[in-house]
Amino acid sequence: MSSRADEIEIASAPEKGRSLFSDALLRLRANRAALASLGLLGFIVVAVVVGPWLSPHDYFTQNYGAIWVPPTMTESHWFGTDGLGRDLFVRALEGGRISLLIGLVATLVSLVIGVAYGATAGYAGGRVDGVMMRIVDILYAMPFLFFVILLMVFFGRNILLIFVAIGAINWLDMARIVRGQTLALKQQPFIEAARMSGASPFAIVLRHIVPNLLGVVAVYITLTIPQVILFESFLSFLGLGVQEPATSWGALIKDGADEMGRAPWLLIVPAVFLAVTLFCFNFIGDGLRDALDPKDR
Amino acid sequence: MLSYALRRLLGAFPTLLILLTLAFVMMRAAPGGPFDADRELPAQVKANLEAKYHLDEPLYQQYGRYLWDVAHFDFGPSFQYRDITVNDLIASGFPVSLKLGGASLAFALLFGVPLGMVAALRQNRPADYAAMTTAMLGISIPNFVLAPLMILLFAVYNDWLPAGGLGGWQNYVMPVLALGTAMMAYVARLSRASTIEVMRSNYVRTARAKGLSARRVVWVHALPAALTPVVSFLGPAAAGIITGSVVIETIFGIPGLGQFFVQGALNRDYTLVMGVVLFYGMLIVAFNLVVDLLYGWLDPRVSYS
Repeated sequence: MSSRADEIEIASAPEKGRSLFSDALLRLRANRAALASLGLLGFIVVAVVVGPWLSPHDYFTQNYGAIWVPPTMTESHWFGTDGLGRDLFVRALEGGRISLLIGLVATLVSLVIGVAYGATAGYAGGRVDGVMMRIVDILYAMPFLFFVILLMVFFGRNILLIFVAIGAINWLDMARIVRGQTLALKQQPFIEAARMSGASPFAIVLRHIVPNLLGVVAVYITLTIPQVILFESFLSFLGLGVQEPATSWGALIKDGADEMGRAPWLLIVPAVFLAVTLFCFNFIGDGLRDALDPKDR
Repeated sequence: MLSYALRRLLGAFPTLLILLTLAFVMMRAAPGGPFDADRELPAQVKANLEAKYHLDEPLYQQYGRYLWDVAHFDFGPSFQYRDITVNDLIASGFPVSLKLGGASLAFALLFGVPLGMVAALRQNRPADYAAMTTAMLGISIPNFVLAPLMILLFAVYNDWLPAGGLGGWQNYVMPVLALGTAMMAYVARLSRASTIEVMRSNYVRTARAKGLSARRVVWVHALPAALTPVVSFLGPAAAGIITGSVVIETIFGIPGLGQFFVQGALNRDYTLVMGVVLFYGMLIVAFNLVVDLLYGWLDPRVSYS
């Protein structure tokens, strides 16, 4: 990657070194797939947020005068309508709002739990670390997905429960990764210096360890969001996610799959939305990881 | 090695105990009992039923009984299907699920490993980009999207394959593809990364320097080492196939365990659902143990002391 010209330039300007971060940014910018994904994802996010206002329809009004309308440019049902005459364009974007929102919120939940847990275990070390990680090991072996399905069946389907349930089972990976990083960071001189200057363990973890985890955490966030979206879609596909008339991509895919012989667009439109979004997130996550840890280049 | 296996088995007990306790607590915490029919049962009938299934005992006694039964691999009677035990249901559904899952795993390995190795040996060339984009697509298209799309294409528009049910091998083609594709993509990515790393290692350089043919270097020296991450991925892969089978079996109407689970959950057949969860938990624990033992066999640097 770095040509001779780069090296000469750096050699002649020693006061302007390249930080790990700017180095990573350069590598990310060279990754065209990741950049294209970032652009496409940005477009989807904007479309999902703004799009529903551009259509004369809303996502819940049923119109029996216009059922099973195939995608058309003329009647303002750009993606067609479903069996209740609801506009698919608006429903697909509305479903995207829910799917992306769940992805974001549940990832945040798992982020907070995972970072707090992992950093504590890693910084405390010794027996505390051993016990805490043993608990994670045990939880790893649980078929949580089944429990979430049961939760949904037993306690009704509300979005809040979905957020918490998905977030609460997704923090395990995060905790492991953060703990490993913390163990390595703990040996660094600047942590030693903070300890010498009398900072409390809490302050050290919060002020010195957590900020240094941001790179790893960023990579992990971009890889967790698609997992969560996928998981919610899975639940919705089984009929256990968000409830009518609210919708998500998974719920739309389920409706579409039920009627695909008659109205294939009901399946294809949300499927494309979901797949493209997951594709973008995965490419960005991959690109970020390669940029921060370039050993496989 | 034997003592390691034994120790691992002992270590699995707390996991299974927690799993069982969680299952029990959830089963009892669930609103509505198994005999809350639409039509109110006469009080005496209900009391008799509850006595028959020991639901009238104090909770700790029920817990003890459940623990004891499960320790004897007896998951109790199904609440929904009268006179049929959960064991019967598992015995009838599991072979079907095993066939489906095994075929999917085989598909994932047989196509994923070569795809990844070819990509690695042609690193940063068109073949590599094509293989990795394919893999990324495989990861990004969920199985419950792939399955209906395939049905639409191969069963609705073209009458090439049956859309569901169980009959000949044709019935397995779409479910296996739907279940195995994501797994194959992961395997391809893993084996690409590990092959790249192995091909740069010193012993491969030595093998080359000795004048061995490129084919021998790849097949005899690089392949076993490149496979180790794939082997350790088999544990999560099995878990993924199990959860995936829940939705795939429902879509294709395959009478396996996954479909029982969904039906049981919707019908509030608590004993069936808990039995399936526990059974799968045990299966995953056992599978992980086998994978770890296999790992040590493949990679001589791993020791079990």
